[in-house]
Amino acid sequence: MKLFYASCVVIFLATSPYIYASEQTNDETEILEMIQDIEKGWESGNGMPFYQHYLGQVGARYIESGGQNKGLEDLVKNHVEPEKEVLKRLTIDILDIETNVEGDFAWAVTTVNVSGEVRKTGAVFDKKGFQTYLFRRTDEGWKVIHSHSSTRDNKPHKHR
Amino acid sequence: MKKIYLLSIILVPLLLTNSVNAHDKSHNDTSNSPMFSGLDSDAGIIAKQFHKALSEANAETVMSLLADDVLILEGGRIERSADEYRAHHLQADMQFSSAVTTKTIEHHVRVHGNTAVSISRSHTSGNYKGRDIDRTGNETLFLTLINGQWKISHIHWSH
Repeated sequence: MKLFYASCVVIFLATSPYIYASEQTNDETEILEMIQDIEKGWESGNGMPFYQHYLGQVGARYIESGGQNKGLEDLVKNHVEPEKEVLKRLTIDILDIETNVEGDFAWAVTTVNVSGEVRKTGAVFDKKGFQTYLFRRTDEGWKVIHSHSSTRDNKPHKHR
Repeated sequence: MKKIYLLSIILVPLLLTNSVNAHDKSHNDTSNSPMFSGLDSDAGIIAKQFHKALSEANAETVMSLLADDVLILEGGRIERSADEYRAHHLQADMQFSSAVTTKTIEHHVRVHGNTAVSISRSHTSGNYKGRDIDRTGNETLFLTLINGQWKISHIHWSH
């Protein structure tokens, strides 16, 4: 009997790291897929991924440089969806994603290339930048509670 | 809207929200303003100390508040440790912060167990190296409780 209990303990100890690692992997996979969905939403001017993946708290604000959208619906209707009218083409290439899960909280940083063409003027742009996403685990899975994006023209960095 | 294209958006949920550029010189009474919250928490105090240290060019304090493996994003640059930041941009950031005037517009700190988020907006004005500065900046700080002390493990600055 002692041997049985000892075996159980050994098996538990041997497998628990893999179970934990698997949970971590599942979290990171879910978060990765969310970010990819959101980027596709930006590219296509589709607000659905935002409604699906953002927590959308009452009173939430979405700030874009000096301006801001108040609430998730405002963000989608006045920012995401109009992009497809303003831009003839928009491509977001995710070059790298780093994800950190801390219990029911997670954050991810993506490195992106953003390129596109303005419909009205024909001006093209090519930028590189970063996005910080913060997530909270809810009963419905991970939800974005904050994002912060910044881009800069693709050119060598100058010190201030 | 079109001038920034989409990637300069910042989502600031009120439950987490808001503001301070790392380059904050002003310390207004914010106790009763809806634009400021969570600043009296331990993590909030760390965030304010960080801003103050940068504006006072106090490198020792700045470094003491950063996690060793802090990830710092600003514009197109990325730094992956406190040592790397100290070697590259810390001095320039402190010189800039101490030369200009920064007014915090919003600053919210929310604690989630052993992690905390500080989100802030600020307006910076002045003259730096002959260049007029007049801009709004945004900052996201992610803090982690490490051995009982809050450390800044991620910074994202943009303007």
